Amino acid sequence: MTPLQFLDNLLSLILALLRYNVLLTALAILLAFPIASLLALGRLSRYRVISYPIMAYINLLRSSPLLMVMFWTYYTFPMLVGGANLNVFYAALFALTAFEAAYFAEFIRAGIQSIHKDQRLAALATGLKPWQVSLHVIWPQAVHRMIPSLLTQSIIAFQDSTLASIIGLREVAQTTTIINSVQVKPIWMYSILAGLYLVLCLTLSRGVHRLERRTAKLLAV
Amino acid sequence: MGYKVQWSVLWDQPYRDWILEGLYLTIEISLIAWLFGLTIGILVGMLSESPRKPLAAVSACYVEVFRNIPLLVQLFFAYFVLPLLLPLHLRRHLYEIGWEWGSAVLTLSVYTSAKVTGHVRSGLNAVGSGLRQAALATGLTWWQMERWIVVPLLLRVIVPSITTEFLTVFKGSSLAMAVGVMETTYMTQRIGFQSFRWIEANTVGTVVYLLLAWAVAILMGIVERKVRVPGLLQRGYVVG
Repeated sequence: MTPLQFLDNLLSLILALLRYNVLLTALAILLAFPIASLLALGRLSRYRVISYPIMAYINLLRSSPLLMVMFWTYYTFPMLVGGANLNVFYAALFALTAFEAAYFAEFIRAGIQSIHKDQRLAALATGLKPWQVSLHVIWPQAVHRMIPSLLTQSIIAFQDSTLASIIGLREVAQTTTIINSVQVKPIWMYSILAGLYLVLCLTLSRGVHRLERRTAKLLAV
Repeated sequence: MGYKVQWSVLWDQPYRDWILEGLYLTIEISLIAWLFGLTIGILVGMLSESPRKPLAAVSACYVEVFRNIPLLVQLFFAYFVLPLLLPLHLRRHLYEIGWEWGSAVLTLSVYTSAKVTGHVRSGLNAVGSGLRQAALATGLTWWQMERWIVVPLLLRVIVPSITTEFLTVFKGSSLAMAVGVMETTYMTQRIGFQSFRWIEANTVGTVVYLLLAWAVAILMGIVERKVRVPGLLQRGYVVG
């Protein structure tokens, strides 16, 4: 592989990564967070009519492989609404959002539960209404604690976005395979792909790790 | 619309056999990968105890490299690239005896072992330096301390976080279909394409993974209760 070819291939992969994987992950995270917050609140609800179905949803999604969820959204759900074809990107987005929402919900629940009950009682005693206590006292502290684990999960979601290649999205892993089928340079192509992910995820997880230590120091006071 | 769910389809041949064959492969691949992953993970994790700095750094790098490359990319690497390091006749032989199966087991083992190594490393922190100093003060040698104090405690401390990885192995084995291993996910899609019974096929696939997860949760729950270390586990040792 000539240097020029190398750069050309690298550029193609980066473009595919930005256009599909990064976009897919970013949208999925943005959509999953509000959904997961509602799920976590419902999961902590006193009423079993609400908390049991949500618990079932979370456990179901957490024990299925993402690939299985993608097959549901890509092949099965469109059939239910009358055989309409769903765009691969939206199918992958739908699957990744539903999947990550279940994981996020558990982290958010853990964050909320890590705030001591006495704080709620103290805040209620000052005359705040229950929803004000949740929104202004519990939530801001809980968010602080759950952010590192949410970010770590987001990095995993970014890695998992490669699975969309199996249902046919032309993202970075599939682009690699396509370029390789023309140029037949498997060692180079898959090394570039692996290297790209390694550098990106390593940088991101280092950042999260530093944030985590800073938060731990902040909360230790 | 006019889609009628017919569960009996799944009991018709060849679908019944496909499901059973898929289930068998899922369990086989996962369990083998789990055994290798656990063993290698604990060994590489213990390297971080080594007083020799370069050896300790190996385990840190091991975790970072394999945790930060997507499992699918690792699988592609193992399937397409690794055989190229062999001479041609051996390579042909490798694909003939089923390298898709081998690469899936290899990838999943290495990926799991990297995760386990991470847990072992934080488990070693949880064991704490006070205990080590106490052990050395009683006159044990360094090696005896590792063998009789640190490792037995470590193995008990890491059980809860190991449970998560055990669950992840089964889910991860579904990726093997990308290189053509006919495990559960592959078989359910095959049934879907053959019969257009997508709902039935996907349901049975989802239920299989759900049952496997339950089985693991129950099994590890028993182990966890048996080996719990009072006082050590409550110290904010949360799986993240």
